[in-house]
Order: sequence, then structure tokens, then C-alpha cells
Amino acid sequence: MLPIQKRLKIFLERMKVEPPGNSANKALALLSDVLNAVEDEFSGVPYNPRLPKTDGRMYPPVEDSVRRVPAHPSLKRYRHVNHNTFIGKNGSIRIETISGKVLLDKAGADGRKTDELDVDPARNEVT
Amino acid sequence: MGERRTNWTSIPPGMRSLDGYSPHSIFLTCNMEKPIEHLKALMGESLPRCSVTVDAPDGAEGSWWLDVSMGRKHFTLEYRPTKGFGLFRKDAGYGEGPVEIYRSPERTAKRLGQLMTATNSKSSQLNLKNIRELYGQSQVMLARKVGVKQSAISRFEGRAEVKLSTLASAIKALGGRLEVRARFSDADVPVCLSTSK
Repeated sequence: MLPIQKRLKIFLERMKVEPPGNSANKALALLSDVLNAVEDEFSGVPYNPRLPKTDGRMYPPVEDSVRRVPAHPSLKRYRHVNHNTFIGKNGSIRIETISGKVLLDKAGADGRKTDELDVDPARNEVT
Repeated sequence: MGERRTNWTSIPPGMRSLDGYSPHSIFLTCNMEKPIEHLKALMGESLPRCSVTVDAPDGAEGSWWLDVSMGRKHFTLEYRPTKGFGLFRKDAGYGEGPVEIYRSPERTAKRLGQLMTATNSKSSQLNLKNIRELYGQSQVMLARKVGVKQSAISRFEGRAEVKLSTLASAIKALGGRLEVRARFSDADVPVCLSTSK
């Protein structure tokens, strides 16, 4: 069993090298699969997402934690207590701490990252 | 991984994020769940310097996040209409659940009051004294319910280590039930507090 910070590091390292998804659903599925695999391997806590309180295990975002991102229709934001996870419709994934530190910035299958979506390339502004 | 900031977001003070959402504007434009409004009102009455920002979900039945701050202290709650208010460890990991759950805004506000006024991190931990105060009971009142003297409750609350059966009696007198569980990599089981012969 490994402490949660080490498990998070392993999860982020594995996410970086995974082939990207080409849709938001595939990106979320990829994130969930990788996180659950890391937790199965290293947390020592059985998977039980229905528990109302912490069991010491990390769980992927769920649909009822989704938020729209103002002016960025291609993005969805999933809130966790100390993190925001942004998923792009091209399969891009960005994980930030609440204070704004970027932990993962993974491009989608088309090579674009979350901050390159909904941007007018001619003006470099949000469309 | 660098810390490249996006240049197309407006980032609210103290709440930097990719989408640049403003908790204040969320508060003004969403249909706030009544328990959250109630909690905010209670916090405003008991701790006027406390600020509560609300991060609302797309659907009202989803998870609402409340970031509660006073001075340098900050705590985060998740409110789900079907579960109540979950209070998190400050260093909670990615996707980790809450450590404490309260069904009512009143109890949540009392607990936040304890945390905001705690003088050190140890005094913010939940012990019998904190739980007794959460349920509005004096040592005298609790002693009467347990059937012991007030001095016994006082001694018990001052002990570094407590007897589980005594703690179970006190929790029961407060209207709760003490549970002890053992967790293994392949099991999660209740531990019986007494051995019957």
C-alpha cells in the first residue's frame, strides 16, 4: 500500500503516456480506468464508490459533479474537494488544484489541449 | 508539467481556475438549495467574518461545493440533497470523500464554528467534548444521562486514552451509536466492543 500522494503521482504519470481519447466520454473513461487501476493496485482499499464518506481511496469524477465552463462550450468541469478536472470534447484532460496549479494537461486525439478549444486562432480570443 | 496559466480567463481573487468562474456570480444566479441558504444565514449570525462561496452544479440534484473561509482558515463542504453536508480533510486527495457528514445545516454550522475558532489543529479533532458541544449538552446534562457524576465526564474528556465502552455509553446518551470497524485490503468489518462469554 502506498500513501495517497504517491498514488496520485503514479496516476498522473500513467495518464501522461496513455493514448488520448477522441471524445469527452472516452477521456472520462480513460481517466476512470487509469485511476481505478492505480487504486486497485496500490491503495489496499476495495472499490466502493457508493460509500458516503472517505475510505482512503481516490475516486474518479462522476456526472453529477459536472459544471459548464462559461464561454467554453467544448469544456466540462468536474469539481472535487481540492481539484478541478476539465474534459474537452476532443478528449483533452486538464487537472488543476483549486489554487490553480496544473497537475495534468493532456491533449486530445487532435493534439489540442483544453486551453486551445473555443479559441479563435486568428485573434487568439475565446470565440 | 509546468504551471502555464491560460490567458483568457478572469480569475477571481483566491479562486484561480481554468474557467475563471466567479463563486459570487454563481451565488447570485443559481437557485440556491434551501439548506445551503440556511447554512449561510447561520454562519452569518454566528461568525460574521466568515465567507461562504458556492460552486453550484449544472443540475440542482448534483454536488454543491461550499468553500468556507475566515481569516487564514479554510474548509470545504460538499452538499448533496440526498446525503447532506460532507466536511473534508484539508489535504484530501483527488476524488477522496468527506471525513464527517452532517444532515442538518444547524449541526454543520456548529461544527464549522468549532473548526473556525479552534486554537490548534488538535483541538479541531472530534473528541467527546466536541461531540457533546455539537449536541448542545453540558457535562452536567451528559453525566445525568449516562448516570455518572459531572466530574467523571470531566475526567473522561481530559484523558489521553479512553475506554471504548465508556465512550460508547456517552455517545449513546447523546443519541448516537459508536461503531468500530477494521479495514483490510479485501474486507471491511465491524469490531464488537465487548466479548460475551
